[in-house]
Amino acid sequence: MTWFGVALASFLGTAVEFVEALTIVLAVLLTKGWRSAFTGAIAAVVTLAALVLIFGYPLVHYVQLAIVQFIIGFLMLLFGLRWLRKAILRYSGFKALHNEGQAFEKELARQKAQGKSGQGFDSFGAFTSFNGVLLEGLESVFIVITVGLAANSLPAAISGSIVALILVVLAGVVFRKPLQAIPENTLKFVVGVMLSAFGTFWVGEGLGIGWWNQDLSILVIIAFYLVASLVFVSYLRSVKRANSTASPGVGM
Amino acid sequence: MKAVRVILGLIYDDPWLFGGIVIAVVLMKILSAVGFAGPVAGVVLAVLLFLAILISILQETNKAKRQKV
Repeated sequence: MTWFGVALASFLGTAVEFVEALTIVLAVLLTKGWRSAFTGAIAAVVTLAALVLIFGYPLVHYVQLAIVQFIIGFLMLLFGLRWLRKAILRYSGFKALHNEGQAFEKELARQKAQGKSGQGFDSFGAFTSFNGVLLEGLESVFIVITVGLAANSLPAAISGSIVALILVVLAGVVFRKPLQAIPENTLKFVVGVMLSAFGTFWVGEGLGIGWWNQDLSILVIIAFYLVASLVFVSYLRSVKRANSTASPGVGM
Repeated sequence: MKAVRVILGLIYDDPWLFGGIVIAVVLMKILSAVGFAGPVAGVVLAVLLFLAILISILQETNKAKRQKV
């Protein structure tokens, strides 16, 4: 394989992983604030760098990727499905919708009272960001090492992944603004769907399930959770309507 | 430690959801061990996990209905 071929293979492979990591970091950034998102992401990068420095190339043999995928996937499922459940209850009217303006004013007043400014730190957000970046980063390291060693051109593989990283980070900077315009309740619904989809994918990988078209199947899982949730929301709304017709004046 | 507390909180808050996730994962582990690990297994996993949400929500809405009665 030529130098360019190795770089391209590494670029394409790691770009997919970086996009997945970016999706999770952006989700945390938009819902829990930049401090939690970046703390988790930076901690994961430091952990990864330490792992690579300590183990070097044999890292591929020391770390059982399936086990890491299973553990992180399971944690992501715990958070994601719980979030999605709450979002379904909110959208179907069984739980009050989060009043964004009121919540923002309240948080601002609380921070002012405590003499703080800016966004607070959320351990759940940082943990989610850490898990996402660590797992995707680990997969990227594996891709670079295996592609680089197989073609006997590690510098080319590293170059390809660095270009992918720069492009994905730039894309994140560009897309952050328009994503911030999405209403918070909708965003939380979408984030719940995405975390659940990533969790499902990773748990499946950890269990040895051969997904259709590998990482591309994440999009299918996202679509499945989205459609299933919307159908369930519409069913719950009809149940709520029926209940309020049966007993007018009493809400749930 | 905080992460452990967060996870324990999830189990305590939503035992139905947590139980559903565990059952779905254990079931898929057994199925994959006997060779059912193709793309269809992935679909089954996603459906089982969504069922966990479904049961957990129906449990909560029924509880609210009983309390109202």
